[in-house]
Amino acid sequence: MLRPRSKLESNRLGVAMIMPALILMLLLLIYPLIQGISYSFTSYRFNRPNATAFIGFSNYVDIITSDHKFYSTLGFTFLNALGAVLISYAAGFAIALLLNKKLHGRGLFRAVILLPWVISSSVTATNWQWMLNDRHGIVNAFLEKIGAVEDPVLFLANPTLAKFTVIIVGAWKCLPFMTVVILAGLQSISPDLYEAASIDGAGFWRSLKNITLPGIRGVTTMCTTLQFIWNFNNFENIYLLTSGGPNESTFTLPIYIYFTAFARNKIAYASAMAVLVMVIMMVFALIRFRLQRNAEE
Amino acid sequence: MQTRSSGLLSRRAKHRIGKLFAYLALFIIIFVVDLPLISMVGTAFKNQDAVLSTTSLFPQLGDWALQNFIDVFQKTSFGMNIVNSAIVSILATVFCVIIAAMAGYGLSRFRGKFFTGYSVLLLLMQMFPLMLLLIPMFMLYSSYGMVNNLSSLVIYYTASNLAFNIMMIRSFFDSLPRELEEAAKVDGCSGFVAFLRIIFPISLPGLITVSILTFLNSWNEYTFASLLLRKPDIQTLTVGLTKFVQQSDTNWGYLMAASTIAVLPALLFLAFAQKYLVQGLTAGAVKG
Repeated sequence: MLRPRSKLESNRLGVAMIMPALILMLLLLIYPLIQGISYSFTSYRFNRPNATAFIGFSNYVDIITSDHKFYSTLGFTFLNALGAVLISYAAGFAIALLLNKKLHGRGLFRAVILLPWVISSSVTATNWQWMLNDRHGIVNAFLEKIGAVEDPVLFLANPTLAKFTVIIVGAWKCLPFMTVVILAGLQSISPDLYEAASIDGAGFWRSLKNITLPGIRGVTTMCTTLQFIWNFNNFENIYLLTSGGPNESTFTLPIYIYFTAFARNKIAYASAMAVLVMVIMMVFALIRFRLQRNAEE
Repeated sequence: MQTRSSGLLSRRAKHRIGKLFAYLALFIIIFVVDLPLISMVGTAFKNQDAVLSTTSLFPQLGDWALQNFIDVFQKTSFGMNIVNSAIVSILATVFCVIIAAMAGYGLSRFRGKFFTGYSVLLLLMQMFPLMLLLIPMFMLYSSYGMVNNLSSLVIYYTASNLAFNIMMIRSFFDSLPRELEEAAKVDGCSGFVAFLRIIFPISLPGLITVSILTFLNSWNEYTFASLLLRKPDIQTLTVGLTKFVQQSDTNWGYLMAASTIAVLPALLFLAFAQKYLVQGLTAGAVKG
């Protein structure tokens, strides 16, 4: 049936269909990426472009051997991503369990849960700043009214608390995704399994442990690894909320790179850090791939 | 029999109580989760004095005011920012979805090394950290004098949404039987015409999903827009919003009114196209 000529002809159509997208990506994404990687081997600074020289791996050596801030920032980037994922997974799981019941207005509940996900970080960040404001915010007003605190809590101005706040807001942003994806996972579990378990006398917790959790194992792996990578790589959320402050206490790697490149003009050094982040991300992607394959088996 | 039926009744009662508890829990959860947005809307409708002097969630009854909304349009460049965002997002969505639909079709219907290689490239594209792209992109755009130019944003949003969109559209096409075009070809249509006349219309639901996601991504994007657009009347709305905060004392009333306007498209999509949004979210999760 496959005549060589018609196959060749149709393949030509396929290549033609892909071309616009391919050319756009090569020009606008791949070319800049290669340029970014090549910056990292130079001494390029935005304010002194003429003094640029090829310096090999010097930037990388500097970062790895003597940049303490890189390591401490890496630590918080990791902690932030992990914390946000754990909190949002636990909360998302609980909400998904509730939504999985046969309730009226389930679609409406799901829509309202989705809100934080479809709204820009510029909006959500300012909303949180307003809510957590020390003089006019409703959170402090509430805490003072019930007598939990005497002075306003400085959620964003106290370095230790700010870290905590940033993680909570990150979890809040991931929550819609977690809830909807886990709910989809729950709905794929056959109700017969629960019925059989309840006939065998299994209670809520035993069904949860023996049916629900194994049933959504694949979904769990997928959504936690995906959100971990997303949080690790995210810039806007924290930058708009705290600008990395106070006192750089909520610096994550994307914010550190941003300031190094655009405030201190060290384009080459920042690019080298971005390449290192890419390497870390590739390791994560590899782990994710492995985990997902295991979950599928 | 007696004991059994009473057992059944109590179980039903238990079920009722369980449901009531679930509703209550959901209402509380939703209130807490959406509190930042509820307080945004409540503050937006307060008058200027009440914004700072009251801490209630909503204005007092009879004190609801539209002054913040009116001022935001009359006294700031926010109206212009909305127009800019709308232009950029609509153009980027149209370009991106058309180009992605073509490429998605190519990947779905044709086999060979070229196509496999392209699929791998698409997967790799989604792993690069934003910052590695942002730095050279900024240098590139500024060296070509494309700073303070909305078309550079259209170009960037088109390109940056391509990889994800192609993979999603491809999976929609994969679910359509090949016989559809074969039949059209027998009727004398060329391959491209068959795509345009047959495949494109049936896959409309998939294309709507992708369009909504692309529009929202572009509408909500901040980082690149903030680097590239420096003049107030050329900025998009996400950048315009942060300008309200950066002034030494923030006008919270204006900020919340502007934010409320900024979330309207998302609310509309959520109200009228939730199905598509959820589909995009879960499909994206599986693909991403």
